[in-house]
Amino acid sequence: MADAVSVSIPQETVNDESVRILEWKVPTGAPVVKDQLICDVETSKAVMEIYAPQAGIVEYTALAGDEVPVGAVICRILPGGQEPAEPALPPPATELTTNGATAAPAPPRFTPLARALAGEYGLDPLSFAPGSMVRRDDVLRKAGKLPPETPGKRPRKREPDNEDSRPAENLPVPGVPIAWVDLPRRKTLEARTLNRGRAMSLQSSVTAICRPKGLRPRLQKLSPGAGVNALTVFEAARLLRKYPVFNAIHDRGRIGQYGEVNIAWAIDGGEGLVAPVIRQTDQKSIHEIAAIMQRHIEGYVSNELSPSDFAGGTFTVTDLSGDGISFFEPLISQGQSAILGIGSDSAEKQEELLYLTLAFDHQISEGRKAAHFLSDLCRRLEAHGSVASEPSQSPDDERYCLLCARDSKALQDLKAILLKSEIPSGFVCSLCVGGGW
Amino acid sequence: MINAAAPPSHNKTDHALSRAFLIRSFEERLLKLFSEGKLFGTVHTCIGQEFSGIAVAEHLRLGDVIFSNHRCHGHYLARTGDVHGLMAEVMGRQTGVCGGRGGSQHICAGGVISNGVQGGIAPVAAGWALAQTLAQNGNIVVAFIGDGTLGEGVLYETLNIISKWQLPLMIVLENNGYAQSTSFSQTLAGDIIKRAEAFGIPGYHGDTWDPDGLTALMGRAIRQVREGPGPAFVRVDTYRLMAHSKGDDDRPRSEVEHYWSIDPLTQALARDGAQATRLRQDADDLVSSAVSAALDAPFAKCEPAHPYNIASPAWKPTVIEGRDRVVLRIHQALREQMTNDRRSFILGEDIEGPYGGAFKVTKDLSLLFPGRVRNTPISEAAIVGIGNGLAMAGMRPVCEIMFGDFLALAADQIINHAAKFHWMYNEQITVPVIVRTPMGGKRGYGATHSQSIEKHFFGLPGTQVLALHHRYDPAKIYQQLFRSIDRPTLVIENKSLYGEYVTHTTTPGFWCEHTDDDFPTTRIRSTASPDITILCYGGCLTDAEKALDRLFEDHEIIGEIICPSQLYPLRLDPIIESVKKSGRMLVVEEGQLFCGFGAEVLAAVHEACPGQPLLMRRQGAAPHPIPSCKPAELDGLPGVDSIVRDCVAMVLHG
Repeated sequence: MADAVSVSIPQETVNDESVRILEWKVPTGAPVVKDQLICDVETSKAVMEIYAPQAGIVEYTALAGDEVPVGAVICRILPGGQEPAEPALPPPATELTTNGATAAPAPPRFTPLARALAGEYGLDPLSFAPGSMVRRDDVLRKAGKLPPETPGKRPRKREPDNEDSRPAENLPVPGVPIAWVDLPRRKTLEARTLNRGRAMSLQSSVTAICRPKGLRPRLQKLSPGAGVNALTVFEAARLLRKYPVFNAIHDRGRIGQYGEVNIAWAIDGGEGLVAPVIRQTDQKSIHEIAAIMQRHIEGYVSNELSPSDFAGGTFTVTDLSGDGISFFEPLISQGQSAILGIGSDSAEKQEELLYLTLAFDHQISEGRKAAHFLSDLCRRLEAHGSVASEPSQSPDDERYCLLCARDSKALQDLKAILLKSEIPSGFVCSLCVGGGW
Repeated sequence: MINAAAPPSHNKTDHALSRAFLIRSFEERLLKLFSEGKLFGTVHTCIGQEFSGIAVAEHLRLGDVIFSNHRCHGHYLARTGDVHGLMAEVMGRQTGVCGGRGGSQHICAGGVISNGVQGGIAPVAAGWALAQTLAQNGNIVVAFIGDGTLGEGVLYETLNIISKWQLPLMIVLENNGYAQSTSFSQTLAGDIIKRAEAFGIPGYHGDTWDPDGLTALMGRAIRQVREGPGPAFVRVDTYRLMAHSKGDDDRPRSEVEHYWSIDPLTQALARDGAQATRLRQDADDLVSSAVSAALDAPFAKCEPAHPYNIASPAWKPTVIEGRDRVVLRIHQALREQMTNDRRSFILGEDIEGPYGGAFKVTKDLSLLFPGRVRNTPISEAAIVGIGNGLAMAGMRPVCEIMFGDFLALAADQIINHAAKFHWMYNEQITVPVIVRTPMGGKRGYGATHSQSIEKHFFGLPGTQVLALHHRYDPAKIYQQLFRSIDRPTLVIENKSLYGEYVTHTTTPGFWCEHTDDDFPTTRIRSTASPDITILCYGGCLTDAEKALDRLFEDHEIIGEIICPSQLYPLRLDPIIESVKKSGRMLVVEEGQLFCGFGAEVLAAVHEACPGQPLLMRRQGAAPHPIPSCKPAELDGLPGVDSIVRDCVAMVLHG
């Protein structure tokens, strides 16, 4: 019988140091024939297909979504018919009765995460060994998402999730006079928040160019005083319901999805950078959002923002378009997984060019999903600008789409209709619903 | 062993004089040997004081016992005449009465037991006397102390108890006027005999310059004690003609010379030259032959106090019947023992019914076993000292120290007495004394009633330290202890555990098992391979179990608890077995970390696993006294949160 063969990422085909496993085409433990497609991996340039070098049983050593160094083993092909080794379990725990006899075996015990995952994969809790202790990896293993545990392996060592939050000593250039000035406490707090956010996430970003022609005049009509940023916050909040991975947090192999969309938005009027929070942004109208942002600005100027104004942010929007910045990569804040940056090109004010950059945590998402988020956002912002005629009724009239602000007349032209909506309270159009509401 | 030699039957005055010359000759030879470099350490001679021991020995019977002190040669020779045995002992030879292990100050033979610490022997003698009373055998006990001992508090604890309990103990105070170099005029207030009389003890007063009168006085005092009930106190004025031990004599020459002139042996040689000279010559010859014999004998042989060889641990599932609280299981074990073994005796503060002890462990026992469960004064040193004496005399005493903190008051009895006797006396006696005490905090009792100070009692060869917990039946620990006890045993009962239910049901998914030892190590494990070992004992187990649950539930970490019930000597292999599996160990203790249990275990595991990449940490009390303020107290002691925190940090970042 042939020996097991290890499958690794061939060096010659990629320039990267590592690749991402996009998708396994066969479950672990499944039989494959020679040259069968078993896996898609993503390089910086393209998707590469990996084929079985021989017939046998696939045993994963890496999971879909994993970054794998080039040359590293991603799976093994065991000789056909040889089952992957089951982890050797000690005798199952049983409830001991007082006379020493053994009664019915105790059911397996799950961690909350393992129980949730088992539900997700449709695994029967009782299909796990009686008395066993079931954790995330045990469920993933059972679901074929992880290779079987190797008996006698070294105890798992987990990588630290964050570095020492203390900044390393920064040495000045020698021989040059230097004057030290202590930073204001606000600045050090800000640095700590951003540092932690950065330390906990694997930040990446994508940028899209948005051309919402005629948006600003339209905004003036729609909600006087509301800026592009208010509209962007308004639309981003709704999109976050569709893309919950950006309204989330990554922690040791888990995604925590926030149950609320609370967008923080960055203000810096020279008094320092702050990011007050608009609570439950996705349930507020653009007028309400604009009003809250106005209150935040006034509070910022009069230094009357309270700690509660900064609490609970799950996503951040930062707008440097007013400063003539076109492109920048904002930093993800602690406890969040993404941040949206808005830039513009001052030279082309007439055309209203927006640069939208989404920085996201690559541990729980990837560029494609971020791209989808941005293209949805662009489409919605451009839709606002493209509304040719003004609403026949005032913006406060219930009979217009709360998402795209088209009134029923405009929608008629587009062969769309208004639908009654609970949240947000009012109406949304079938275009916006179809767009992934 | 310790049975006294038959009392002399021939002419009493001649016998006394010959014994006195024997003692004198023996000790003068010791001084000579010392100056020749043939003795170890030091010697304390009683030259000039010989008749004190002789006057007592005249009246003792076979079952009576003398307890003595650092200056014990005269008492031993007066009682036994065993020059060969004592000379070999002082010279550190295997042929000595204690195999050469005890030396000059520590002898145990022929009905004489001596120890080198001032005062501490008094409650031990009281305990032995109590055993004679309980046995109703008419035996009495004599304890020799010096005037320097009057400075020791434990003496007064003992005087109080022996009078209150009317014990057959005669205390003989040899007043030579000096505590080493310090005259008693500098250190003694009031009157010596009045001190004893204040406790209601009859006082007697004699001196060694009138040997016949002293012998008669001792006769009266001993008859009083033997006929009973109650103790006696005899003050014997005397004078030490030589230095306290060596080269520390700065008394005025004129004073010393005066006492040489009135010394009974000097006068006997002058008065009746021929006979006295012959007695002296006989004594010198006997001593010379003893020295020659001793010089030919091998030096003392020293075996470890704890031979300890055990193969790899065998684990058995723990099954505990019923569902009782820890306090009740201890109570039931004591009650069973009191019923089955009449040698059992419980003493301590406030332990009699209806109160039944500060933590109610002995509730009702005094009513069930009248006279064998006794309240004591607040005298921790005397409680343990009496326990020592009872145990040496063959009883099975259980001493309760109300709070573990107060063990400090009994430390001398544990460290310098109980722990030493068996080995130091060449294994001729055992001290099967049990000292039970509640340790630990989390009850808001403050700095002096909440500590865990057991670490100060670890590492005393010849003793054992046990710690109860609720995942192995405390009654079984006590039953086994009563069955097998052969050494002083300290049992730590954590306060916070008394109310816990004794069951084998631990956090779901985990089960309890234990090693196949007398005092087992408990392991709480699951089917999964552990990420970390949590080593704890006693009261920390409850928090460790909760942490085990949270580690799994909130952090997906599998822990394994190792909880020994025997802390000293500690069986390492169950710990090593677990830590080799997990690669990590957190040691949790409620005491101070410095030189503590965890420090010892980490060092020992490290030594036993050279080169292995083990991640090990300790967690204990914050380095300040325990505050009464309960939230602050909890903050400074290990708890569920701190255990979880450290375990997570070790697993994630280790």
